[in-house]
Amino acid sequence: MKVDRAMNENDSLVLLATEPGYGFYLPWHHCILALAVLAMVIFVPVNAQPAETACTDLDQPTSRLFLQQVSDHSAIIKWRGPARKVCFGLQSDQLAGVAEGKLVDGHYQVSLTGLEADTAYYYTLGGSGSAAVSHFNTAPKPGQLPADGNIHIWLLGDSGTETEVQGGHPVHQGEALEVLDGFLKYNEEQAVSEPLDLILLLGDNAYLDGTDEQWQGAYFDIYTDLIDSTATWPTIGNHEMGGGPLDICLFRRLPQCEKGPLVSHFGGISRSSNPDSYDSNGDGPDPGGLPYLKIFTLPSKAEQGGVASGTEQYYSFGYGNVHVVSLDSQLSNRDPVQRLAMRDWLIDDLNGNTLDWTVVIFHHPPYSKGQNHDSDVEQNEIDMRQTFAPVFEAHGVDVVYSGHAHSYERSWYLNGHHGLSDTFKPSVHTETDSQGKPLMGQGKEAYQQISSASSADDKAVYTVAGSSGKADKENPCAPGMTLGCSLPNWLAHPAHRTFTDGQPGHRSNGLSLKGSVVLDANRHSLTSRFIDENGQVLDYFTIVRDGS
Amino acid sequence: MNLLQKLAVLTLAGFSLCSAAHPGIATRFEQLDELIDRYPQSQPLWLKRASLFIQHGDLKSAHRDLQQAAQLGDPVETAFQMGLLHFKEGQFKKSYDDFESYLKRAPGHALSYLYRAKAASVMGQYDLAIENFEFYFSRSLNPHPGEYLAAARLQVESSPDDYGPALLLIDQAIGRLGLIPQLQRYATDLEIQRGNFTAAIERWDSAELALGSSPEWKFKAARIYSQAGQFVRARQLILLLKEQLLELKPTPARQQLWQEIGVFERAWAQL
Repeated sequence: MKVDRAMNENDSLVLLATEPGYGFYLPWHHCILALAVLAMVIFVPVNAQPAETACTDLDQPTSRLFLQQVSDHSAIIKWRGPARKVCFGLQSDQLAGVAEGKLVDGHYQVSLTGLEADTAYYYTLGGSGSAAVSHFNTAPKPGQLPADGNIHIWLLGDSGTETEVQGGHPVHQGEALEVLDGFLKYNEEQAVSEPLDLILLLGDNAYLDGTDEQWQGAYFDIYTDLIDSTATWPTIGNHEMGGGPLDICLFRRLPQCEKGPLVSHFGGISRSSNPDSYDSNGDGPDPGGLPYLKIFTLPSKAEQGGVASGTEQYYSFGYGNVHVVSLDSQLSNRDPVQRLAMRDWLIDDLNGNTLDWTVVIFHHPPYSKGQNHDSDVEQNEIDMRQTFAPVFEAHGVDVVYSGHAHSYERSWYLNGHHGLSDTFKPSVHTETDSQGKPLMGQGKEAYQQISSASSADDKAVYTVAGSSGKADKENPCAPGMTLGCSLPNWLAHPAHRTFTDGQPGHRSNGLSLKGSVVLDANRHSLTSRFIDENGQVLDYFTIVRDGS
Repeated sequence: MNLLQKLAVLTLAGFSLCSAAHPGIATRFEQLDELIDRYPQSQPLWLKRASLFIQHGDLKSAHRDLQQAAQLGDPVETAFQMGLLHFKEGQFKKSYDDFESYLKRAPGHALSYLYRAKAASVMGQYDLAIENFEFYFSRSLNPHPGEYLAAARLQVESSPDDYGPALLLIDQAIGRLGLIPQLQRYATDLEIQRGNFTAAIERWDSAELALGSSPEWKFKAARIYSQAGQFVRARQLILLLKEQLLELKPTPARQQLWQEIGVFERAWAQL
C-alpha cells in the first residue's frame, strides 16, 4: 500500500494494519486519534456489550493467571496462554464485558476500569458462560471495610523452595504446598473460609535465582487457585536478584583455602543495587533484566493510593482501611543515594496516610537471629533498622513483616531500639507490666495503637516470617563455622517475644517451624497470627485502636 | 585414610554443608578454571573470570585476568570490566577512560554512562558528569528517582548561579516517572532560593494531590506563601492544618509538627 503523501523526514510513523504484507503509515496526530479509538475499544466498561455478542469462544487454558492492583475501581488481569481476551461481568453466567489483552513483557494484560467498589466480578479468558469462571472482589472504598467487616491478608516469606535444587535434585519439594495446606485448613476451620483480600510476598518467593521459570514453578504453579481471585503484592528478596560469586573460605577454613579463594556461584548473594545487572547464572547480566519487574505490574505512580515512588522497586497502596508499603531492602537499600531517596519517599507517603492501619513489608529483617542471617551482622538488615525503623516509629507504622531467615520471630511492641541486640532493654524499648516483663500483645495485654505514655502511635511489631517453604533445623556449629549451622544465639534475639513451652521447634525467642502469617484488620483491631503447616495458630498478637 | 582422602572428604563435607545454606551452587569459578585450562586462548573466558573476581573483590586477580584477556584479542573488549575495576580501586580518571573506550564499541550501554557520571562527579568534573547522567537516563530501562535527584544536585553545584538546568532535569524526570514529590520539593526549594515565589507556589501547589494534602504539605505551603507575602493564604493554610491535625491519629512526627507550627506562629506574631 502506498503512502498517501510524501512523508517528511521528521514525521512520526506508525504501522497500523496487521494484515500480512500490508500496512499503511499515519502521521503522529492521526495516530493519536486512532489510538484513542483503539483504547476505547480495548477498555470496555462493564456491560458495555450485549451478552449475546460476547464470549462465545471456548475457555482457553493458561499457564499463568494472576491479578494485580485490585482497587476499588479497577483491576489488572495478567496471563500466559493462547487466550487474547477477557470476558467479564457481575454474574458468572452473564459475562457481557469483553476486553482485549495487550502483550507486555511476555504476559497478556487487561486493565479493567470503571468497576464498582466492594463488588464481585466474574471472568474467563476467552470463555463462554459454561467455561470455568474465576472471580475477584474489588476493594472497598478508601477508609472503608468490605461487607464482611474484615480485611483478610495472607503473608508468605521465602516460600519459593519448590524450585530449589541441589546437584540437580529438588531438596524442599512439597514443603511450600504443606504450608499452603496448613493455611487452607486454618482458613476453613478457624476463619469461616473467609476469602483473601490481599496476598503479600516477603521476598525469596522463587528460588534460587528468581528466574521466570522459577517463578512459574515456585509461585504460579503452587498458588494457582488463590492468585486468580486475590491480588499479589510482592517485595524484592535476595533470591529475586539472581546470584553472584562467594568465597567459601570466608566462612569455612578448607585445606584448599591455603592456595587462595575458593569461589562459587551462589543464588541470592548479588551485591548490586541495579536491577539491570540481574544475573541468573553467574556469567554476567542477563539481557532481559530482572524477571520480577517483568512479571509484576506494581503501582509506581500511586495508582492505588499512597504517594508515587517513581519506581516499581518500592511502592505503596491503600486497601480499605489498610495502608501497605513495600520497601526495597535488596537493591535501593544497598546504594546510599537510592536508600535516602526511598526513605524520603517513605516519609512523604506516611505523612499523607490517613487510613486506620499501616503495614510495611520488605525482605531483610531489622531484628533477627536466624540461621545464617544475623541482624547484628548483615549490612542490609542494619541499614533497614537504622534508616527506616526510626521512620516507622515517628510516622505511625503498626506492623512490619520480613523474611530472609527461615524461621518465625515476632518482636515485642518496639520503640527506639536501633542498635545491636545486646543494647535491647525492655524497660526502655517496649511496654512492660508491673513486674517489668514485656507485654505479649495477647488477650488483656493487647497492644494499644496510641501509647498512654506518649499519646502517640509510636511503636511497631516486627515479624520475621521466612519459613513458608522450609524451616532451618538445629545443627550446632563446629568451631570455626558460622554458616549453614546454628550458633548458640540462634533464634535468641531479645527484642523478640519469648517461647518457654519447650515444644519441638521452639527456641527461646522464635520458632523453627514452617508456616505463614494471616493478618486481619477491622475497624478496631489488627490481629496477626502465625499458622503452621497443620493449620494451628502458634502465635498471635493484637493491636487495638481508640482504647477498644 | 591417607591425607588426600581426608582432603577429599573435607572438601565434599564443606560443599555439602555450604549447600545446606545456599544449595544449588554452580561452581562457576571451578568451571571457568577448567575451561581456561582447556582453552587458554579464549578471551571471553578470561573476561568472565575477571568479572567474577571484581564482584568478589579480588582486584589483584582481576587485573591479572584482564591483562591476559587484553593480549588474546581486541583490548577494547576488556574495557568495561577494566572500568569497573579502576572504579573500585578509586582510579576514577582511568575508569572514565575505560568506559569511554567501551562506549565506542557499545554506544548504548547505560551502565557505562552511569559509572562515567559517577567517576566524573568524584573528580569534580560536574559538566561531564551531568552529560553522562543524561545519557544514562535516556538509555536506562529503570532509572531510579534517587539518581535523578543526585544529578539535579550536581547541576546546582555545577552552575550555582543558574538553577535552570537542574529544574529542567527535574521536570524531565517528572515527565518520565510521574510527579514524585521529593523531586518537586527540591525544585520548589530551588525556586525559593532564587526568589521566584510564584514558581515555587505553582510547583508546590502541584504536589498537593500527590501528597494527599498532608499536614506537612500544608505547613510548607504556608511558609512559602508567607515568604511570598501572601499572609491571608498562609493563615488560611495554618488554620486548615490545625484542624486536620486534630482529626488525624497522633504520631511523634505530627506532635513535632504542632511544635513547629507554634514556633512559626510566634515568629509571625513578631512581624
